[in-house]
Amino acid sequence: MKTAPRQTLTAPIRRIRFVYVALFFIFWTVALGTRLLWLQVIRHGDFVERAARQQQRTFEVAPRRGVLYDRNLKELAMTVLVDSIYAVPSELGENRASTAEILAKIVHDDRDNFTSEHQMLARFNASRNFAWVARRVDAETATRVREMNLKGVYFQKEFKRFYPSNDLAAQVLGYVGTDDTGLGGLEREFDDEMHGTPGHVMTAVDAKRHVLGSEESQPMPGENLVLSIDANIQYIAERALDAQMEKMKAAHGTVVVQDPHTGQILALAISPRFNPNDKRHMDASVLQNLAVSDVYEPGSTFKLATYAAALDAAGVEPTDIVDCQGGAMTMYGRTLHDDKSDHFGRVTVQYALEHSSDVGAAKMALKLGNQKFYDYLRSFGFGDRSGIELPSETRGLLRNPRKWDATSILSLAIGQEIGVTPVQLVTMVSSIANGGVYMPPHVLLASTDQMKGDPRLKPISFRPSNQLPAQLPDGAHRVIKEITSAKMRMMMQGIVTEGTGKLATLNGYSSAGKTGTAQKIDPATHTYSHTKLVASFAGFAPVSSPAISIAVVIDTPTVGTRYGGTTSAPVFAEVAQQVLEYLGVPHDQPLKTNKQIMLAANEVDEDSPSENVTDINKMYADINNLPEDDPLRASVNGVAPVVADVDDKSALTTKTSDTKLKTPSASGSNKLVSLLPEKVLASFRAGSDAEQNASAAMPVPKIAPAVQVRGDGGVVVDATHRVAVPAFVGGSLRTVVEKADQAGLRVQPVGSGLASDQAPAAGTMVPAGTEVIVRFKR
Amino acid sequence: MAKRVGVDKWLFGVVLLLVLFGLVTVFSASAVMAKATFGTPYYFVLRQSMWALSGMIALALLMQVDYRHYNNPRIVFTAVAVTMVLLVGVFAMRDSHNTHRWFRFGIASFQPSELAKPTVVLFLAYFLQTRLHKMEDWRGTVLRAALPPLVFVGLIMKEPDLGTALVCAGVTAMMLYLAGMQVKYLWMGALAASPIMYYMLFRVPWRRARMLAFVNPEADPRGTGFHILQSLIAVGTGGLHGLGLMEGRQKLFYLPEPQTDFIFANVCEELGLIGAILVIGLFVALGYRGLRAAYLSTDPFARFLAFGLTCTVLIQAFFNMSVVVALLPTKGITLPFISFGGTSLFVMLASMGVLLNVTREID
Repeated sequence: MKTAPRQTLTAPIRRIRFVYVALFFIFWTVALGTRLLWLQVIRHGDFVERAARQQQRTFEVAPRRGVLYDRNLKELAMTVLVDSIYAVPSELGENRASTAEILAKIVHDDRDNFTSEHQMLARFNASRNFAWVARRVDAETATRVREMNLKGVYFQKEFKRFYPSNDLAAQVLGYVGTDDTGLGGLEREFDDEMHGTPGHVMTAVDAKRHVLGSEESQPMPGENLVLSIDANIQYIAERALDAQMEKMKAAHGTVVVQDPHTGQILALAISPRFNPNDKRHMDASVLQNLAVSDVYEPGSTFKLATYAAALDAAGVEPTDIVDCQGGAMTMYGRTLHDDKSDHFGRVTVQYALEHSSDVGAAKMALKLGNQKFYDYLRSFGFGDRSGIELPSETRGLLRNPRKWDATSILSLAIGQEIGVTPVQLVTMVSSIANGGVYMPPHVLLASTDQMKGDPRLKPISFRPSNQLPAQLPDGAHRVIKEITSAKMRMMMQGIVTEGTGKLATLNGYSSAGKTGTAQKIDPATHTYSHTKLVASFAGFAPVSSPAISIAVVIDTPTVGTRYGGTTSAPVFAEVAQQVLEYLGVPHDQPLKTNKQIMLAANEVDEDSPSENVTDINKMYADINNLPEDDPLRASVNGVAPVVADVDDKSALTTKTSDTKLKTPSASGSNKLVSLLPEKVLASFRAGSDAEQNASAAMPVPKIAPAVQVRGDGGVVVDATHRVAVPAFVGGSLRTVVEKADQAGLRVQPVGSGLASDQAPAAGTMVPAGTEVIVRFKR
Repeated sequence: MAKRVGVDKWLFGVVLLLVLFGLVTVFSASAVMAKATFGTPYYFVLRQSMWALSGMIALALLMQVDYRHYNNPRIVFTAVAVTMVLLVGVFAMRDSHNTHRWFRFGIASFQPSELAKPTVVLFLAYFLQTRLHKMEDWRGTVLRAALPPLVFVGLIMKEPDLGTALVCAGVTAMMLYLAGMQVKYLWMGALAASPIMYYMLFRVPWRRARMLAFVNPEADPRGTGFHILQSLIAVGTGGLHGLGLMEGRQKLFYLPEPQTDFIFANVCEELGLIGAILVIGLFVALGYRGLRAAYLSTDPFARFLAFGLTCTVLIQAFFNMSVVVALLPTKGITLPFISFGGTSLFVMLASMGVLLNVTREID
């Protein structure tokens, strides 16, 4: 092949140009490398974030909200899985209207739960892929819809907050909104802890939205809380209060039961209540926990603090003589009048207290002087938040002595010019009862955060102790000397036996307490009402070693004598009697016959309200000194502190009527049954081993019903009567109820069909009136 | 004849590594997309393997053919003529992606613009070797040397395949520069080209959009900025070590053409800075061995041939990688040896065969 003539090397090769070309490429290489370093190392994080944003979809998985237990680990609030029904409208096709019609017939049971045929059809037409039919329906409705087998209709499990005991301790527990946020009570106070951490499903998706894989983080269930409340005591207190409220046609009332030696609240009953399961029908006016967020003028019950302080610091003895000056005393132009009938002359200190002499109490306070008296009141916890684990606690109204005028001390001595909460009141009584130590009140026993859902969780049954803990907890401090406490206890017993508190007499137990009747202050006008009274009683029992202290406050009774001695003392007696027996506290008095009781109740020394100072604005002036978040402040400003949860329209929470609540979904009931009963009753078994061995198959021993059913359906529990739980398994609801009635037990049915499971087990010896949970299955 | 010392084993090794690396990367980048589109994850990698195999055979054969055979006007002008015909003929073909780049023969397709690059090198090497003293001659040398390549460039631009056109123009400029052309002609050429470039870049709406996207990709992240942004996300997420081979996510329909123009982004994502530096390193090694051969060659034809072929690879590779990391605006241009693309790979390997033959003469 012919080739071109070969060139010799004479050609002028500019070798430097090679170098330039090489440098050009080297420069380009360096530029590339720098750019890569910038993108891949320095800005790496930004790009990872951007990539995640487009490559991942995150779905939140709702956590299970923590359980609220009573001290015996009975669930007071729990979260169950229920069915929600939704439809895929595109799959319904032409059948939208007919499907809506069929579904509405089943699920539409409430005018305003957004499940009417019209509303449903509107949702079907609004979206192609998803439309709610009804949310959180009960098991029966879900089953009926399921059986229809409708095309394009699906189910999804959703969490629903469920309060097995309905309105029990409603204001303490609170309630949750549709988005599972606590809106009142403990649900609100411990919302962060109980809510739990949502889980996430992170899905990697490609640009065409195909799911490539997913990573899940499990939701962390919320903390479970164990309350110091005992559901049985709470029940007793609520029934007794409700009954009296009904009888007296009162506006509202509060009963607080406290363990004086630990400060733990055993029951905090408020009437009227609401059913947190039924958010649609909650009345905003009853949501507030009046026991901590509202104050009242305590009146004569407050004299306990006056006398205790005087005995402790001023060297007053119960047997000292005090001149009640014939029932009238004038000081700085102000005259205190005792009741017309009580023209006391020179009487013992004890007598003055027993008969609630205003002059006597005022003289006690005067012996102390302003500052000392004030210091004692503060020491008893007045004018300060107790720190109880409930939202919207007020510190009450107690002015600093610098702001007192000359006669303030007289008013304070008889419980005027001061606003206290029922919890503060009961805590004061406990301080006197337990030997003189202020024990801060608590409703929370423990958080089970460390052992979520751990079956080892042990119930902390309440055992009344006779003494204070060796190591005083935080916030506890001595208020009065032990000897003062003993003297006060004796004097307070005298009030019940000899004085104004005769209706607080118990059968088989000694009791002590102080009545009080105050004219109600209208917070809006700051004036005393001459017709509206607040009747209260604060006391404890038994006297020698107090197991419980109780404060009863009934606001605006309207029937009969509306004084503390007649309105509130009987509630105290009823609650104390049942609770002491329920707790198995040994009797310290001979049991009386019914006749004796009838006779004893005849004469009651009335404790009429003290005459009032004219200017109560003095007390209310203190409102302006309250912290911003104090509920009293809010109410004065006209803002309701607790806002009712008005369901937003998107939420289709089905109305749950009472009958339905007795048949919660099966998934919820399993837990209910398995956790409850053994623990509750463990304490009762100890003394009845022999009876317990009775086989379940054996015929139920015939025991006379130890339960008297009250007119309002309330039940009085006589804990001295133990009954064997009958075997319910296999029976229908009717036979179960009949059997239970015979045995004197209450039944909480769960599910429907035939009884398949029960708790406590057959043969267990329980106090009459105990609630037996029976699970029914088809 | 100079003494034969055998082919440059380094160069051969680098080319082989690049091809093998390319096959792995093409599989990684295309498997999911191939599965989704063609039902088999091996669709692209099998085709690429066929082309790689035939390319390697061509390389092995051409490696044995003495490069002096090409130093022949009949071969050179035949190559120029054939390329010209093909470049014109391609406009008669049915368009794909609104462009005229391919001849299709059943399953196989052929891209004549790929052929234009070695043809330009061959022509310039042949033409310039005898005119090294006459580089001052504007009409006689420079213009005549530049004319055929510029016609090619014009035709390729018209396809339009701006990337390949720029590579051709770049190689032409570099070879003329090496031959001793006065630098002022380069500036003049650039000046003459600027209105054309301006028209091409800013008057064609989609190119204009690309340019704007390059300047600020965030302005329209879902539209014109999408490609470059997705590429940067891929590169950036790679970090130092990368997500691991096959683990890249941006290729899952985020990254446009992950197996061709943006395969380097996939490499950066899966192998990180280390992998990216490795790829750049391989090209630098290739460039070093190629330029070294050109520098040491005693035969001007061999020198220009080696220089031109090496520069073709380097310009194209660096251009591609610069686009991926947004140093340069987006141009349709593949990464030599690595990107999926049969013609490109085959022609590249064949031209490496020629280069390897040249290295036989070098110590």
